[in-house]
Amino acid sequence: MASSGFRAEGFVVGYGSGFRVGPITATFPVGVTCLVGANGAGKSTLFRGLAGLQKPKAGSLTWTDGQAGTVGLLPQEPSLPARARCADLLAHVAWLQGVPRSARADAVSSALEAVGLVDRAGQRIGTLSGGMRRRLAIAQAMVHSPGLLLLDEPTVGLDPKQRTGLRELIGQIGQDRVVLVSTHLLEDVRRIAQNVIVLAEGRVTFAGAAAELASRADQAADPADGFDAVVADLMETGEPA
Amino acid sequence: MTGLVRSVRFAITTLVGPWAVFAALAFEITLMLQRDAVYLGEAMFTLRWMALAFLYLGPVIAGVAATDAARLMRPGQAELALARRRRRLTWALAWCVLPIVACHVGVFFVAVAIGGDFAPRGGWGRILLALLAQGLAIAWFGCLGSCVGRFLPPLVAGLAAAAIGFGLMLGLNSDGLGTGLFEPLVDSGASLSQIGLLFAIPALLIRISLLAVTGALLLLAPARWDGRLALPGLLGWVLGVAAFSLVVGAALLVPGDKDFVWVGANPDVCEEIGGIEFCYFHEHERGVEPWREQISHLVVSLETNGYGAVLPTRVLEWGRVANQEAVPRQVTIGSIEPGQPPDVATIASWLVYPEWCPQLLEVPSDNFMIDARLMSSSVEALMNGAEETEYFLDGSSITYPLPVEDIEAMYQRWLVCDLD
Repeated sequence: MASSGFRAEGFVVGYGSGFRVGPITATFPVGVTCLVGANGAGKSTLFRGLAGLQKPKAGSLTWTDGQAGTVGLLPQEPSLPARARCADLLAHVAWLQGVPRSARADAVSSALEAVGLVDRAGQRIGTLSGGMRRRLAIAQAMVHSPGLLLLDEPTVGLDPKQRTGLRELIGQIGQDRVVLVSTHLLEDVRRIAQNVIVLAEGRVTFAGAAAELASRADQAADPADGFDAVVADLMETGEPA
Repeated sequence: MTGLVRSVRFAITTLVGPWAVFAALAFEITLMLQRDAVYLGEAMFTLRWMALAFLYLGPVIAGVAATDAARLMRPGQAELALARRRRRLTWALAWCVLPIVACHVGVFFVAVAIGGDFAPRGGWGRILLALLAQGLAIAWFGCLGSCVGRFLPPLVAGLAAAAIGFGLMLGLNSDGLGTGLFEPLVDSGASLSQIGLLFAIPALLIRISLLAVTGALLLLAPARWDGRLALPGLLGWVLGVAAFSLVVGAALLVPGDKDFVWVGANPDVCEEIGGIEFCYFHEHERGVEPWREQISHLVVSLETNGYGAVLPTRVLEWGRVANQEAVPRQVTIGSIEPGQPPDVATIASWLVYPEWCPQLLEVPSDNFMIDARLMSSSVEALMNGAEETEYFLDGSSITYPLPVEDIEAMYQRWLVCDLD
């Protein structure tokens, strides 16, 4: 796992001559960075670009320590094979991601432990609850110990209790790697983000520490919902309230 | 728990492909049990008989491979499928194709072992090369399905790939529109003994190269994924069209009559039955006994009734004979197959037919046709042990069997090829 951050330099990704996201120039440090934007702002497109599933139109991504790091991705709607067992899925993904045979069993155990599913290793995926399934999906994204973990809307569709548990998990995972969380839920941002990038119609309208947004919120007319209002304005107009 | 067990368990619980081997096995076993397993004893015939399964096997493989590929390209799965250079698509394809190849090869060797042809004519090299070509054909249909499956929903992909596979088998094999053309995917099979023929190595090498290259092109066709749909992209189209063009081009441009080498062979086992030398191919020993009985029955029937003068001296099994002279009283029967031999009427007509006469290479005269009918019907009546029976031929009343003097006189004329 690369314990350094990575940097996007003039990074642009998009479809043909139509919709584009970027250019993005930002540093993503170790910790949790939330990528915020309204539906259609380009979060998933940017994720595909960062995950290497789509070629960038311009720009580059480099690890700040100069090493080549790997990327793990939790898709927005992870489709897990219901009849397979948890550990079998993780072993398969570890093989897909090039984890050497000798290290595969340990990688599976570590991933299961990280998401708190060790006692479910032999259970069929279809019998897990929604929250457990989401945690397993995160485990498959990190089974190869990626330096950058991309989580696309990880809390969508979960009940409040599951959501809280997952946020704690993401916070723990972000202690030693770059975790980029795409979300349109401002509660996620408030609870887990150390850094925030706000997208509006493919443009970056904010990139910086979450504390800075909190500071702006404190100065807002109504501090009770100031954070949300500041971010919401950035998402819509590109200008803070 | 070993990694292998985990891998196998994961594959069989998440893919359709590994289960296709049971359909393949059912196809192959059903095919192998047809016609009293007539191919047994000939390795080449066994392999060509097995090729008959491809008309159905190919589309099934393509359809199943397409379904799996399409399922792996759904949102939420495609991210993994596209990771690590499409390793997951290749994995799914391998789980579909390899068990079927193993099944196909296994069925072949079991059939060869049962048939006992451990030293096939022409050697094992050509046979193994042809088996490799069939294995690659199985893989090719899998590649076709995998390619189609990347760009369509699972059900549509399965049906489309199966339809394309079936269409190609019909269109490019001699059972379909491409009659007489080189068969680029798999040879269309055989239902007759192959003794006297060998697989032509150049044709096999062309087929193997074509399958390997076009299969790889289909496998490499990249998917451009926009989050909801996978699209072929320009390179995908180029590779797909290139593969299709190579296959169709080969069918049109490679000579279609060079698949086999004609080496010829003469029956190599002879035995004596009531004074008649009976020769057949050693590969067909399994089906000989009913023929022995029929020939013995012919001898007894004719000699007992005083018609022994029309008996042949030598009876040969049909084959792609090499340098065989036409000798009076030497006749040819059909290819010996297990099960019951042809009926008495057919055997009677073969055993007294003057095939040594060169006139019979062309259309014989009407007089000869009538004489041949009288002769064979008389022999048939004798073999059936029937009482004299009256028939009407061209308005005349005829009683079978004809008197022995008439039969002998006719046969004497035939011996000197006086057929008119």
